[in-house]
Amino acid sequence: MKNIFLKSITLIVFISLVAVFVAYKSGYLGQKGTSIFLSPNGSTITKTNTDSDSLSINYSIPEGRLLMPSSKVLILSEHKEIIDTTKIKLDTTNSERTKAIMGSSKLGRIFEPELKKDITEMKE
Amino acid sequence: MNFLNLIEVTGASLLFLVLVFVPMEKVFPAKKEQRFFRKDWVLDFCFFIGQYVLWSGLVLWVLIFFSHYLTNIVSVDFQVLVKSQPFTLQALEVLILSDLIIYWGHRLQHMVNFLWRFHKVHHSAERLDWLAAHREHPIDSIYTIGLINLPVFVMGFPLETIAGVIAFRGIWAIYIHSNVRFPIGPLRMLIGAPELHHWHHDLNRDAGNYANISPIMDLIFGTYVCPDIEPEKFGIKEDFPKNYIGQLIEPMLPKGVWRKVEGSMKNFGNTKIP
Repeated sequence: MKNIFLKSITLIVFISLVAVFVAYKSGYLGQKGTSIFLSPNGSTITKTNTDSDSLSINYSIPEGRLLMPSSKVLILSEHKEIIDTTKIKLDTTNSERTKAIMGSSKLGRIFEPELKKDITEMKE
Repeated sequence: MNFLNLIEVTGASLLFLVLVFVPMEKVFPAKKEQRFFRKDWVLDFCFFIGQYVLWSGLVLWVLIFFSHYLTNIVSVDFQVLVKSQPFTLQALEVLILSDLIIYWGHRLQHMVNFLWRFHKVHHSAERLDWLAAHREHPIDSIYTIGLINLPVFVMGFPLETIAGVIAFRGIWAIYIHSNVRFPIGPLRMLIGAPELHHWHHDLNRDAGNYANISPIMDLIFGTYVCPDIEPEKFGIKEDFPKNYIGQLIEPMLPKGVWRKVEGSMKNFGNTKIP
């Protein structure tokens, strides 16, 4: 009986800790974003970054978000704001502007045409 | 991140791993006689520390360098299409695609001599547990992490989808190395288990069981192996250095050059490096 209890507790603790770990890494435990390691695959750009210095992005590991950055669990992350392209439409007509912004195919912000229209209206 | 933070992260990770895996290893041991501080514990601990403190930055830098090229393989339109799918469909695709990539990537590590040079560091462990899972050459790590993150680079899966999968895959990869035997019956055809992966670490280089989360790819491609007993011995048949520095250097040098280096190391009495 004691043996079964011990085995059950061990299993429950194991499953719970694994679940907590996955939730933590997925960003469900109060983290902003899900990044663990940053990458040009849409890296977290600091407030001081501009389009022109996008090639010198700070790839350092964000503090307070790390647990087990080992080869088994290393995630090269992206930043939601930058490459959440499902919520926007591509402005394919203005390739020059896009080139200037994007360091790689997924690095830059792609402005929503409707947003530009809104800004124009605001100015008027 | 400064050095102190790095040490904090390493310590927290170590503590977490001990909490997760040591009770399992004590209550459900695969090899009952194996102690916590078993033979080669210090060597594996060197790999653990090395991976966290020294190599993760280098690995990250290399992957970032190559990711610039990988992200251009598939068109932006296609990547937008991938992202517009429902979350569950994306998660399923990530699982299947990454399982397929990792299976073949891992199988190649055993088939291709150049890749095996680095991968054999991992297989040189003669005792398996959660710590031995970290015995890995940095170049092997670049290859492995590259494969794991490939769906993000190439297909454009958002991190919200893949982060959970990678995290689960990662901790499961450590679990299947642990000194645990917890038979799950027919479920072991669906979920990877230590009893399967221990056979992958058999002395035979082509022992099978290359998959990670699910053995389905092994079943499909005919490499599934699951005897009811534990392998007698783990490790490799080849001669290989028993110390940290030697295991890092040997794979990078031609055999002749390594023999000279090894000879001079012995002459200087440096063979006792952990």
